Amino acid sequence: MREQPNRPVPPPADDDAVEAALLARIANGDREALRTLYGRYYHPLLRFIYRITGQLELAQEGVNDVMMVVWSSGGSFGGRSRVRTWIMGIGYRKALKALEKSRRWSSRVRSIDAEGYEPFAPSVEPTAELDLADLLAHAMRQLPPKQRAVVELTYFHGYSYEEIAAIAGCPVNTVKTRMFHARARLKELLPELAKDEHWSG
Amino acid sequence: MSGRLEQPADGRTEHDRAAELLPWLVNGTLPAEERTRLERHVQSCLPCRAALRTEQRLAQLVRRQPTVPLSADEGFERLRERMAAPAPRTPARVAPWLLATAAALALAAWLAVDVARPPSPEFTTLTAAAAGGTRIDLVFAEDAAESDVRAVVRELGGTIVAGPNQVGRYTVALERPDEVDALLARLQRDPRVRLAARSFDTGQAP
Repeated sequence: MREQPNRPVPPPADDDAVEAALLARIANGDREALRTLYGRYYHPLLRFIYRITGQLELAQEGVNDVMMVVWSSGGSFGGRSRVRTWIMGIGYRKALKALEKSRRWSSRVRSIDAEGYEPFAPSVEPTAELDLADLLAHAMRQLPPKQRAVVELTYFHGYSYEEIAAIAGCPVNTVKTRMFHARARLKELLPELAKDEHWSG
Repeated sequence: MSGRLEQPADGRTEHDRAAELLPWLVNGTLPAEERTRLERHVQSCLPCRAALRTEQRLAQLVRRQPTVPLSADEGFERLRERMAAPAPRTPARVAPWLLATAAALALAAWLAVDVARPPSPEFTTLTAAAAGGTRIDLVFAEDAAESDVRAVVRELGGTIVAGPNQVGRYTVALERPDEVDALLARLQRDPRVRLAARSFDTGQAP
């Protein structure tokens, strides 16, 4: 079978009916439907798992771990939640499990969290937004994985706190608390972020 | 980090609640009523206005973090290779005492391997009298204690009729089958529960 050409990948659309229909086809063994769903979720999942684990290999493997679950269990999805919440929830658990496993078994693997023990001390004042973006990437690595996940899900993937609670399998108050701590830590690490707050006292 | 942070203490001010919700004002996902209330507060609160600008800046920077430039097509080819390989028998690889590992594998094992099987020999029937009616399957969170399991089942008004199996799955017979959808929706949000779905063991259509 010929590869389909690369196409721009839309973010997971707010079109639950379309994705539920794809899942129904997948449950009947339709590989083209799987390919379509895979195309919709590949980059969001890859980025999400990569942001949690900090390891590209784990992220690539994690995406396919998720899609294997989708392939083998799409028929039992049954509309219990939105499709995108269900799929990202599987990704969340796979990512945390992969991170835990890599920490436990491979001290030589450079995980984000191993790097996290290094002191964070920007040596120069950020002079442009690009610099600030680089520093933020570094600062994000100082956060615990579950806090990183909430920041990513909120600001990159655009999920509501209720959806994030469903993805992470925790109460909404836990989501809000994780986000609150993450924001406080990021502002601490990157005072430049909160320059208006310094002025307003 | 614990999955169960303490909830904020009672007596928090409107400002405290607002400060907590700013990220979802920025990403535009707050329910209308909550958004209106928050916007009203932010208009009259100087620190919240400054904090909102911080959050907007943070959101922009997070969105500007580069995405890994890999091809979905190559990933899909690897997936097809995996799909063509013989499926691993996940539950058989799980040591029975590793409940945490079992729970983590539950999704794949339950949905990929166990689906539509009749109750397996490793199930322990606890209450044969409750065998009829609508049943649901539950896998509890890794940090759920036995008391949590009992509490959840009690709150459901159900009875455990089987489980836990090797992947930590319980089957619960419900006394109020007409409420199953509402109960499942509630369980989806319950931090003590990892997975909840209609059971495939009843012979009833889901």
